[in-house]
Parts: sequence; structure tokens; C-alpha cells
Amino acid sequence: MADWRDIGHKTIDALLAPLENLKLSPNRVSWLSVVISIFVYFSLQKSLLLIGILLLLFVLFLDALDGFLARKKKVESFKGLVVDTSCDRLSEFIIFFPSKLWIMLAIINVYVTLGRLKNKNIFIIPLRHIFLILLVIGFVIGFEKISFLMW
Amino acid sequence: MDIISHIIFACILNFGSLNGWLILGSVLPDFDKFITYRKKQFKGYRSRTLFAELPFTSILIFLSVFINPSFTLGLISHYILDFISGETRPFYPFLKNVVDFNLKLKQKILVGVIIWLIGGILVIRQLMLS
Repeated sequence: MADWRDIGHKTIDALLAPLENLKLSPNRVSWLSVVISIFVYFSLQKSLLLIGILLLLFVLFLDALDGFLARKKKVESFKGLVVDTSCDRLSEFIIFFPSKLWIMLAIINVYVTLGRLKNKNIFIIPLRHIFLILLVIGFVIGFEKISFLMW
Repeated sequence: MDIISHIIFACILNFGSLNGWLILGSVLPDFDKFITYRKKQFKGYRSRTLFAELPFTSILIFLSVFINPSFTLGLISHYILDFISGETRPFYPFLKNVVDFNLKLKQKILVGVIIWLIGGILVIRQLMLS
């Protein structure tokens, strides 16, 4: 599991390398991802699917960016991990509302995160990534065809 | 954040409309203030008890899903506002790490002003429409 995480980090580091000198703290980036998630929620509630998808992409970009900046500035810490993961969980709650299924998955992810914070080998479910893929599929083939997955 | 700001923020997330369940959800997590007020710990992260943090708020959210969606939204909005504007211990009681984004006083005031401004506009809009 740790090897896959290392591969993931190296891939992200390579892709985000041009942003290495960004003058933002990783915690501020995490904070921003929660704020932008609120706008994802607004977009999806108003059925502005494309805007919602783009904003969700931006949220996931910020989620990768905070870890990247922490590694590059050598400020990785357990506290930073707590900030990052708690931002991710909150982001999930607001994005997934009012879907009962996805809210419940987000609740499960809170406890999975707790496990991860105690044991690095536990894998956090990438719910927002899966949700994004479903939104894109819905945008392409029609949202009504996948509405059963959004209960 | 104060109770009125929580209600206004929940109202914003509900696109300007208020109902009893939304108000209840947005203020319920702050009932711990009664406990911490008596212990004289009603400021900062020390004022936050079990049901004010993610693990137990998640249980409330789980139950609220079967009660009323506005109640769920109120609970989520409460935690988000506390999280982005102040000190929280997201995984308390399992982890005691404090999350504080070190917003300066001016920034916190700005967040509050923006919330009140948007809330006020939405309320006026609702009044004009009804």
C-alpha cells in the first residue's frame, strides 16, 4: 500500500512541479478546497452540471496541491495530515448533500480516515473522485440514466 | 461562530429559505455550550465537546438523513462554518489535534460580514418574492 502511495506522490509531484514556488501554505490550500466545495454544492443544486464538474476538478486539484506543497516546503507533519483529511471529509459532506447514499459513504469515510490516521496502511475511499467520474458519465449520457446512483 | 451566523449560513446554503429543521440542525451542535459554559470553557477549541466534532456529528448526520434533509443540511453547515472560521478538533475524542487556520481577526470579521451580507440579501429577496 505504501508503495502505491509513493508512486502516486511522485506522479503528482512531477505534474505539479511548475507550482513549486507558490506562496501559499498547504493548510490554506486545504481551507480553500472546503470553500470551493461549497460552490460545487451550489452548482450541483442548481443543475449547473458542467460548472459543478469543473469546480469539483478544481477541488481535487487543490487536494493534490496541498500535499505537494507540504512535501516541497518540507513541512509535512501529522497535524498537516489531520488538516488535510478533515478538509477532505467536510468537502465530501457538502458536495454529496442531499444524496443519502453518498452522505452515508462520507460518514464511513470519516471513520476510515480515523483508522488511516492511526495506521498508515489503511486506504481512504476516494469518494469525490468516484463521484466526479459519475458526474462526467451523467453529463455525457444523461443524468437520469445514473440517477439511481445518486439516491 | 455565534448562533445567528450559523442560522444565516444554513439559510444561505438552503438558497435563502428557512425552516424549523434547518434552524434546529444549524444550532444543535452548539448545545454543548451549556455544558462548557458551566465549566467556564466556552471559548476556542476547549469549548467543543463530543457532539461538536466530526466522529459524533457524523452519527447525528446519519440519523438526520432519516428525519429531514434540512436538518442534515443544518448540521453540515454548522460544522463547516466552525471549521473554516475557528478552532476545531475534527477527530475528537479519538485524536486531540487542533485544526486552526490562523485566520486573523480582520479575516474572521470579513467572513462574518460576508455571511450576514449574503444572508440579508437572500432574506430581502425572499420577502420581495413572497
